[in-house]
Amino acid sequence: MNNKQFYKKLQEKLPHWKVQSWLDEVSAQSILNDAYSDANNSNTKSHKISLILGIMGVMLLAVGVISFIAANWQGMSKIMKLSLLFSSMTAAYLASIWALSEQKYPALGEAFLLLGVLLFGNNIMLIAQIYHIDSHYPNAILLWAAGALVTAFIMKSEVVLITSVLLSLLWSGMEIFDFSQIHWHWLVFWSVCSVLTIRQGFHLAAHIMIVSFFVWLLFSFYSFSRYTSVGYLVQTYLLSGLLIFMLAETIRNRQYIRYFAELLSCYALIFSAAFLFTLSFPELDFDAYFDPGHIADELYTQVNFLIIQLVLMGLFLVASIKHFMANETNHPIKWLSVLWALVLVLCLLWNLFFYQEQQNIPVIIINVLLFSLVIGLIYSGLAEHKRFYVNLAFGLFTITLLSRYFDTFWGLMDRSLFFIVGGLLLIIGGYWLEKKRRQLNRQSASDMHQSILFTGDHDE
Amino acid sequence: MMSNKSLWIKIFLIILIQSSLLFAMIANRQAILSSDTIVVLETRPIDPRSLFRGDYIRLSYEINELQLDKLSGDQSFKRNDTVYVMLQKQGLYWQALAVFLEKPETQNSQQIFILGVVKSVSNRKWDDNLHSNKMLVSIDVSYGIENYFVPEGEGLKLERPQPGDKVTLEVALDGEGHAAIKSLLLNGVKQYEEALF
Repeated sequence: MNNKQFYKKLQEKLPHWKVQSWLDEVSAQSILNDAYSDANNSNTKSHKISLILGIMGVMLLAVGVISFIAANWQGMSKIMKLSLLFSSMTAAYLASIWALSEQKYPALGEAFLLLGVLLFGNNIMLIAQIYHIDSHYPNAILLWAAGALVTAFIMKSEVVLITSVLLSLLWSGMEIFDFSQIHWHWLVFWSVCSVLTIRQGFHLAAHIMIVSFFVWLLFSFYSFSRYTSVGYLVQTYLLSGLLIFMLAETIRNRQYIRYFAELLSCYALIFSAAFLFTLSFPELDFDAYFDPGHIADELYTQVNFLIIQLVLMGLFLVASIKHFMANETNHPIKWLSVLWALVLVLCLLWNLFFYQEQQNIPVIIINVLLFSLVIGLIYSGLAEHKRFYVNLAFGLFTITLLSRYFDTFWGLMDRSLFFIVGGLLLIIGGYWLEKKRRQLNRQSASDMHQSILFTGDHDE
Repeated sequence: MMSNKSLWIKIFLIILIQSSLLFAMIANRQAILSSDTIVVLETRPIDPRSLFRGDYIRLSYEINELQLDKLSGDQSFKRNDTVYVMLQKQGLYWQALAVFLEKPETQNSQQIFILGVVKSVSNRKWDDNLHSNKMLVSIDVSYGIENYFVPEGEGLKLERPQPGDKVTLEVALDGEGHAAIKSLLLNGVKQYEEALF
């Protein structure tokens, strides 16, 4: 909830609190005034506007400088070209000193730092041109990203750190798509950027770090798909997403990593939901492709993927039991969650070994799991006040509903049965969960009442 | 809040690190160009479909495509392998003699190796005489000297020379086999020559 939403919420709630005599008129007004000043903090607003305008200005300036150099390129000697390149980069950094000294213009200072980094990248490209350097071209982007990371590290600049990780993603994308590499090296770069993000408590950078991690995983799908079937990969990605979600949920209570872990948990859930949704389509390719010339190598790779999946399934089951059973309340949702995880693992195992014989049963089960996930997300979202879960559930529900409706694999009769059963499942599930929730609330209220009475007796 | 002195030190450090990286690029290239080992390589006609791209020309050499049955050395390669191609002077130009995955231990004034990366491996080749594909293992190797930047508008005459024109290149090699274009010749006349500044 941002400051404005918080202020609006307070406006709604305060009159009720006053009526209940929890707050007097003066306190209520003071709270409201404080929230109003936070919501309309002109310093924060003007900093953001300056930063945005500064960054836009820097972009224009960078393009202008590059065009100016390009326009006069032929008429310049090598030494002149190099002098111009180095002096323009140095000038940008010196300008940042002017803006940042005594915090005169911090936003403009950040923008000049960014300009310095952009000109550093421009210089790499132009020096490569001047000296006809035609080596492995993603290395130029790596050099640029590394230079940006150095600047971000020394100056603790969020904007430059974001630029650095985006450049590194470009580098990795080139290695993956142009050179067909499984590019693990990127994870080292990403880890360094993430540590810096967590240490500095950068919020926007945290979003970019996590999104870039999942985008990189999607890029890598392309590399992995040369070694195994799409079905195997979808299952591996689903299990990985779920394990990352559980890991994030486990570490989210640690103070210094809380924000990062919360975001990781949300994005991992979206990632997992997307792959569960993909798995809900029939006719996924679970065939291993063997090139006659390399059967031994490819068989070895397939076995490796199989082992990885079995290990991931085991880890997921153990993590699910530990995670859901850690909840001290005796609500059936925790048993249902473990059951959900168990059925999912059985279904994935079926796909691994018996998909050729029978593929309809696992697809139907995955669809049921998808709808039960929707119910679970809505329930958890409401119980734990997590609006994101509810939004994700509705998004997932809508996409699944539409795709099943237009999915031509199933006949009209199959689809009608699917929707009727799905609808009944949702209604019955919703009714049952609401009943259990009320029962639990009554139980909690009664326990609390007993506890108060006991404390009172004890005091006497 | 950062003091002015620490701000100056930090920015100076950034300029120093980034400038050092850029100078390292220049120094590395200059080290190759200052080598005394120069080979002259023959270019091949450019694929007519390749388009003139900006201010640089694309160069294709005889030693880009290596037919393994005509060469000694290793015979099994895969994409992205680093290879050492042994060159020997034959007439005016240097031709490929052997190709190795490991760095050759000996080289002399008559036999010099150049470092390259395998771009693709082909098991078949079209035979004009037989009008069919024949089994032939060949590898396409890139040496990092396939592009050359020239003044605007001058690329086309070099990339698509007139019939009878001959584009050749003098390439400098360092002791590790790294290559850099030293000069570009059209019909034996130097068109461009690399200098430090």
